[in-house]
Amino acid sequence: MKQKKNISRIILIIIISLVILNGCWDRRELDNLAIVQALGFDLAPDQRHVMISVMIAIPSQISGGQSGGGNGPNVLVVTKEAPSIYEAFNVINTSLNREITLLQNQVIIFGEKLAKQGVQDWVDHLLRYREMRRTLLIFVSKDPILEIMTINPKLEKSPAEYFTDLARLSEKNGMSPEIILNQFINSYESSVQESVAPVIGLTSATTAKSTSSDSNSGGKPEKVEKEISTVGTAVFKQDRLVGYLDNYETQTFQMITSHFKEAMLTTKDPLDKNGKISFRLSAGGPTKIRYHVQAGQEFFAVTINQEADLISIQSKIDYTKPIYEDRLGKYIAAQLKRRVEKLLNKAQNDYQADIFGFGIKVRNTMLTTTDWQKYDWPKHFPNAKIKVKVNVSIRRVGVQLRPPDPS
Amino acid sequence: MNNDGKIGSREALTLLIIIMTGKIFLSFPRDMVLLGQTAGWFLVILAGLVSLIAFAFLSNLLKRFPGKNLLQISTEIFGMVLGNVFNCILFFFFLIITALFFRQFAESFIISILPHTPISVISLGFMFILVYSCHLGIEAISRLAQFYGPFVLLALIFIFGFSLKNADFQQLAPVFGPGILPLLKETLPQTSIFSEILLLGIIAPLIREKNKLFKIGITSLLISIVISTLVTALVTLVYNYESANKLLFPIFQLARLVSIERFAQRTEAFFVFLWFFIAGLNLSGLFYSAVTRFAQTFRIKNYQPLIIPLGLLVYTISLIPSNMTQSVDFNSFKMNNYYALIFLGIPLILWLGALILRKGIRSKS
Repeated sequence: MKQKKNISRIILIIIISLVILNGCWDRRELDNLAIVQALGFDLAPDQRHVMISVMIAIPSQISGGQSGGGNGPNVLVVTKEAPSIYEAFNVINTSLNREITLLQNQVIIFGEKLAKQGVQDWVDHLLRYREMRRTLLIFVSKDPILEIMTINPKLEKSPAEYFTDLARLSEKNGMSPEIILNQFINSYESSVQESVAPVIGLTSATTAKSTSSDSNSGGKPEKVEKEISTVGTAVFKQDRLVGYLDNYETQTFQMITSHFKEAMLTTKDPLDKNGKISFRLSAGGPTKIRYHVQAGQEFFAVTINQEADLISIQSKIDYTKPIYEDRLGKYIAAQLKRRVEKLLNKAQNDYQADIFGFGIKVRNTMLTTTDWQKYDWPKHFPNAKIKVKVNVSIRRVGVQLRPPDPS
Repeated sequence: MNNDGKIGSREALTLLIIIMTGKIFLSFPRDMVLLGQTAGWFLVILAGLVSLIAFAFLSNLLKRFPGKNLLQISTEIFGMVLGNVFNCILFFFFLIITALFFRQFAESFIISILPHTPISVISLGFMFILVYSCHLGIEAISRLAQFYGPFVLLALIFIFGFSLKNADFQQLAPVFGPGILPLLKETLPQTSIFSEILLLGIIAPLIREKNKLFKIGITSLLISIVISTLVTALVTLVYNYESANKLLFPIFQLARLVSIERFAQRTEAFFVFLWFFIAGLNLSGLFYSAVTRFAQTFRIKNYQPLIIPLGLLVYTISLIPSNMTQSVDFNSFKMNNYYALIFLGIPLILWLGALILRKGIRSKS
């Protein structure tokens, strides 16, 4: 009797499992997916629709180890015009035999036109759909996205990886920020800080025979006609792109926001007009920002601490002597200070956008959120007085003490 | 009741914590940020403090009537009829809370991992777990809770640790959020966060160490307060308050943000497993409470035949809200007032009754 009951139970469980566990609703075979590696969108010429460009990995090209890449591209780039991103996927799927999926997507590229018109209408697209992740890297493209996506990098097999590497490298030397979707949205939604995004563009590589001045592109093969490079920072005010910072302004921007790590820089020799001094600048601690209000006027004191390691000295002056060392440090500090002030001036007067997060300091002094919202920081920012102090100390001089002396 | 064994104090402790903190995986952190803005974490602490007072009444009651559960206590104080009324209220409380969390957990699985699967199938899967675990009894549920407790804690620490990279402590300013008055106004309704501690009043007679009841309750309550507060604070730190109040499942989003350079990304897949266990345990505990409340109201000795009909009831109620947002809204902003009322009211009334009618063992005399 008991055995019978047990058997009937087992049969019941098997039947239930058969119904529930076959997983036929959410089954997705890898062979049927078109894995998007980068997604770009810009306004269509009629201004109402969007142009969606997707970079889809071609599995046979990427996984095939010994084929050596050859001439065939590793990715397929498709562009379609549609009222929304996801509708564009449907349109693409009318001609593509694999289902588009964003699960492996790493990069989002905004077109300049769309960014200038405002990303407000499109931001929700990026957050609500479950395949979108907040860890995506964001870029703004100065040039047509289709052209950017079709350029085949020579060092990497996957162009999407190329974007992420470029962002990481540029963040390291401060030439361009590395912004993920979550950071972008956080500053987009709050009024303490305006959003920024790295800018990519096309630069022609044929003329520049990878001279030392062209250090930001990191030395790529010369045969390429055009190449992708990070060319600075896009400044957003609320949801609109209002302007750009170039690579060196971005470096300064990274210093103010304590994101700067290290960079190789060259300056004129303070004691010898013809000579140049190269040094490696690295952050000597986070930037300190102090805030106080006096008679309704906001005052900020920004203190930036940097350390410099000498790399090369062209003149014969021995900067390893303490007196000269100190003098050189002050000289570099003064130059940096000029740069910082110029950038602050640009942000306050030209763009009127607090991309540095000074608003955070103001918010810290508020007691309630209603106070903070009433205060309307973006209106106050252009009038704030910002004092800058830069300290540079020379820590190391490389492996050589005195410069070589021709006899 | 005959096939319910005894529960160890550790098992009871972890079960209570899991039942009280299970909601952090749902919209709870977002609700707190919505109400308390930057001071959402402080709102949790305030609600926790009030809950401690309510718990003081509950534990005093359990001390006065050793070896009895809330139904037996209430019938002893107020007689059969009123006692049953209290019991009925508790039954509906647990039934509705089970149904609403049931729906939310099911929906959260659809949104996060199984977007094309119909809700009925996921609900059926969950219902199977509920029916089976309830059939095995509270002993099995609490043992399982004790087994999974450390893993859940580990997963939470994991998410916390890796999220700290994205956290900015300046996001907690302005310190008072919407202001002190609005916070105080929200405190009483939000005590519903910890209202599941009433489960202690139900399983009290089953706990082996009777003298440890107070210790179990207070430890579980304090740990739950700490976990809920930290979760709310972390969500505010990582997403600022303006963004956080727009998220549906903040903890899931936190887990999705975790990335350790390039080699460890998409860790939420591993986290979803634990989420599933928490959901199962949480719902089983709540469902068990609902079933036994019903059985005891009608003096049914063996509650097992009631499991399937009540399971159907839970399933049906869970499908009443027409969509996810309605169910979240209903649970967090409408029903929570009643939860808080039950949580604060029942122990207080019973305690006052016992005091005035001189029932039970008077403490320390």
